[in-house]
Amino acid sequence: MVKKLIFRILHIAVVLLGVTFLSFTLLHLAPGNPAEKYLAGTDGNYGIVSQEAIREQERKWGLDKPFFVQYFVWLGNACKGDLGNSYSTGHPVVSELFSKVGPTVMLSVAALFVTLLISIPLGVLCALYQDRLLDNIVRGFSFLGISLPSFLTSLLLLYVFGLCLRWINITDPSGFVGMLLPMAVLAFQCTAKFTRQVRAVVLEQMNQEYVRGAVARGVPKSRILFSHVLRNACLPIITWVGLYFGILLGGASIVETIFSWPGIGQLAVESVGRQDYQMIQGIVLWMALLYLAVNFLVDLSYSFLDPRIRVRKGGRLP
Amino acid sequence: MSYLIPRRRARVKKRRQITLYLLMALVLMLLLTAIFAPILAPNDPSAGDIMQQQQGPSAQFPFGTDHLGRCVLSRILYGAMTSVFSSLGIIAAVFVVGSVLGILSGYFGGLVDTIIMRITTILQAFPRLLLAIALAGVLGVGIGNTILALCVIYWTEYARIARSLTLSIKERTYIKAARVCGENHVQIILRHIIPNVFPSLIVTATLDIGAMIMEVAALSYLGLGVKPSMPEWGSMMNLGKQYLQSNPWLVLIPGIAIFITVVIFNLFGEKLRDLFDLT
Repeated sequence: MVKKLIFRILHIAVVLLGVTFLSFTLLHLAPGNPAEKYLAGTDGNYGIVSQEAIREQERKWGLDKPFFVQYFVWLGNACKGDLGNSYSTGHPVVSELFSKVGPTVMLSVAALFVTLLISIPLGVLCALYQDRLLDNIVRGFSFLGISLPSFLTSLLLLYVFGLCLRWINITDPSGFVGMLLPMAVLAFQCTAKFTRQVRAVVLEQMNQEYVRGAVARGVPKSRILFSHVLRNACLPIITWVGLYFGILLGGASIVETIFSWPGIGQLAVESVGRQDYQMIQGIVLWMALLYLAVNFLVDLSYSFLDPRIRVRKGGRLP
Repeated sequence: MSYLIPRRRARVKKRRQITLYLLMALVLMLLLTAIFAPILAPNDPSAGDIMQQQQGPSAQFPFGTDHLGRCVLSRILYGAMTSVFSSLGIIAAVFVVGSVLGILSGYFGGLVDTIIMRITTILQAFPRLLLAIALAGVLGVGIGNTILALCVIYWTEYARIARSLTLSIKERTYIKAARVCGENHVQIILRHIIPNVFPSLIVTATLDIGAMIMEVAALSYLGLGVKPSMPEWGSMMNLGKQYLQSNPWLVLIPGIAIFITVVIFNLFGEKLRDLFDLT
């Protein structure tokens, strides 16, 4: 048990180290000297900046030190909550991230919630009435969902609701109404995939021997469904919830950009446009940590949901 | 009744094969369109005539012109070349790299396995599209960098699938028999592991083509994929969205092109999967 726990913590530590290292390396993948770029500004006055000024700036940022020393200095600062200042605005990266992470998480959680609310009942129904009318309709709908790129759906919604019907104000996206369309796009995309997965999992469970056994014993159908099939289908579904959170966090960037939703995704796209690498680094690191945290929670929830895992880990049955 | 089943299955299979051939023909048509875009296109995709901007369909410009007076149809056709071939290239690259690493990882286990799996875990810890945006953005705008960024991110999935398949195949009796007969590791991997891992991976890859086309288009839409002068569907939509109110066709036409292409590849992938499941 203790050995397993230590192994698990070591695993997390390795992943964390890797994630931070990758985020850090990202900055150094950019072509050109960041100090020179910073001094030259956005107009690209390359060659005008003197070599001394560049060296001075490099010393200030510690860019003259060896790569790994830079990494550990950066990591130390990151642990203290200092990710440096944005190249373009000069504000600390962390405070900027703090102000933007709320809307993104809100959007993702709302979309995830809607997805679960639709997908789980629909997926179960499709599994129960396999190859019937409802199943076929849902199949068509999910096919549409996985074949429509999110930016196309977004622009179509924007055109219909924003420009033709004028139900929403596309220049000011704040508040609940502004969130509806981006949420709808994200939820549509996820529902399309998730319903299929729920259906597949439930079907898989329904074809298990224990279901046949329960039917033979005369257990009521509703009881088989709710306390046997769905309970067993729970684990894979929870795993996907974690994965979908990551998809949403990433996918939100496009939707946020189109609907001008003031979140991390929009900030990421803007920062890329401004070549604000310090900011990009911070965003990537933050999002990865957030995603890791969610998946860690998902991992933890297994042992609450599934007594078998608790037993396997060396504990006793409750 | 049971004697009916084989015949029905055979009929279903036959029908599925016909659909598959039909879809194959569509895929082929798409590829041919992409290859022969320079011949099929009525106009030069990058030659704009500012006097003829934002025109409706005409004999000279069947799909009208964009804000710089460039022929939309020609740009769509040339865009097919960019979208389809870059996606196919990415899929091919991640397929090869991922499968090789996954098979090695699953077959040999030990340190190789630990290192490869750690790398995939770390790469998969990032929200995918966000990492793609960051990587493509940092590397700089250009189709080569986009392809590179997407390759770096997507090979992990194939490595995982190949690894888990290899792990289950490795334990089969025929592998042990082959060992006993004196086959070495290379022979076993080439003769037994790869042929058994291949079908699942090829189905996964086919199903991913559509998603990859959308991914490339998404990055281009954000202005990270290709340079704006290069005809590409995502970037055409990006340029067209400023005129969404006055001329929505500039967004809709490339959008429909993406949709049709993705639908064809997705249908093809799904039919391929069904066929493999049946046999």
